[in-house]
Amino acid sequence: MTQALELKNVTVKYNRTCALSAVNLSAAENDFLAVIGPNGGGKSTLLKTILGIVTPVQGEIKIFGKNNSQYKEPIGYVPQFSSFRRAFPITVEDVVLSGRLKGGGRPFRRYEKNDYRISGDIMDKLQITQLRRKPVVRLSGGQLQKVLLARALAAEPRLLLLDEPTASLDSEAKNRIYEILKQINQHTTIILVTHDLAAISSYIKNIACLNKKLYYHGEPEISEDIIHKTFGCPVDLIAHGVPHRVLRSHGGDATC
Amino acid sequence: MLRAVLQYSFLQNALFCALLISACCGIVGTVIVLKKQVMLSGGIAHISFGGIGLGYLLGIEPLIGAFLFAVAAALGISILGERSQQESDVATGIFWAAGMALGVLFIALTPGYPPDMASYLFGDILTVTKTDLLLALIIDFIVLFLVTAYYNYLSVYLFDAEFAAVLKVNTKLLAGLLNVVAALTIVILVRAVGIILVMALLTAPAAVASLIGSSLKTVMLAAGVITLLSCLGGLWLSYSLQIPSGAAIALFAAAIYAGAHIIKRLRSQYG
Repeated sequence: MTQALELKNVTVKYNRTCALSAVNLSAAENDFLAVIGPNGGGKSTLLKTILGIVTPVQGEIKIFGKNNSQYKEPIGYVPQFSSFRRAFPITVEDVVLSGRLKGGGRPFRRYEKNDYRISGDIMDKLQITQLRRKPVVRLSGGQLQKVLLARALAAEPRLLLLDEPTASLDSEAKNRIYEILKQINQHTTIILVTHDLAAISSYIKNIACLNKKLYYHGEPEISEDIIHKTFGCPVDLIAHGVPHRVLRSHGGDATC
Repeated sequence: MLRAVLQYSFLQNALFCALLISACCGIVGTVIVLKKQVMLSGGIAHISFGGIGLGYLLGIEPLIGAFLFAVAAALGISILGERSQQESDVATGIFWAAGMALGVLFIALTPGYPPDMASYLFGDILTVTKTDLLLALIIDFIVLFLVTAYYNYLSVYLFDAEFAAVLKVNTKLLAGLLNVVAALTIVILVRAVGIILVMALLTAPAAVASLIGSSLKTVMLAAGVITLLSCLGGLWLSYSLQIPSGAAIALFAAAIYAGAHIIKRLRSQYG
């Protein structure tokens, strides 16, 4: 069976600094993979390398069996909040519609009926239709996150990448995002990166631990030892008693 | 003043010029303000002085020299800008000074009496020629065509350049193209308000417009209208108070900006 995503021996360097070192990673179709690791551990770089924005110095990336430079289908991408200008004159609907654009720069590309229909359906699904005419500047964090998710989904991707999708959200908004992701996951492969272990929900099927190197990849059952290696320090493994806990409980309280 | 407009062709030219530069200035100013490239546009304006000097030295139309220098600088800066923000910031500063210095040097080397440079530094919309108007018209055509043809791409690129790259939009080409278009617009603005005052028309109308508009389209349109108001207001001031037109236009634009911010402050306090 072809994998949705396959990374072989991928190494990425920024000037001389190594961001990713010989990473091997794969995700089956309709997998829900969470890549966890500390800040600066190469998580965003990993996503950008998959997207083709960052070119690896070595290694191979395959998306649904095709080299990532040859893969012409859209890939859904939800960036971090900080990566763009919030004070920009654009409405929610226009942001979602922009996900329908494709490269190649066809002049006089206007949004067509089909584009409006698909964006409309997605906005309905994410319950942001009533925000349609609102400028993005006036959205709350949770609303903006849904808008970014809707923009990524507007392209109808088979692969969805999310960069810290629940950072800066309260736990209620987080849960709602995960509920939506669970639905999407039925027919879309999802790869999510986060440094926040508490953000991981029970909907996740596999986990990878990344800190420049890949330390673990598999079922979401990881030991304190792996966490220690990934984060370089003992980490309080998820708040105990939180409903979405997926990591095995461990003896004694560890602190950084 | 109305009778004077009908009577004197230089006043008619000035009004035409105001109308023509408002279109490209509104669009390019909006891009510059949203992309936070005010420093870069100042750099391009000052570099064009080198081209003006070269034009005098070689005996060709100084504005042609200005176009060549400005476009070359815009391309140079966008190539450097790909590497790092800091590098491009420093490069802009160096280009800025070197361009001015070259202009002074070329003019000193020009045989005969030195030409009057004040009109390039502070602009003179009252002396624009038919050729200047034609150039402005061509630039308007280029800018309007590019913006209408690639509006949706431009909007997504300016909002979130990284996402535009994910959509496989050629962001490098787009950035280069925007810089070149900015360079063309800046040179034509130099003719109207001068190198030193060009910043007023590029920034103030777009900054005020972004307080009003809810989409890129409306901000560009509003910026164009505010540019036109600044030019007309400045011309009227200049005519009735007998003060230099470039300075009057720049001050009018600055006054609109100050007024808009005072209103915004009052509205958020009492509204």
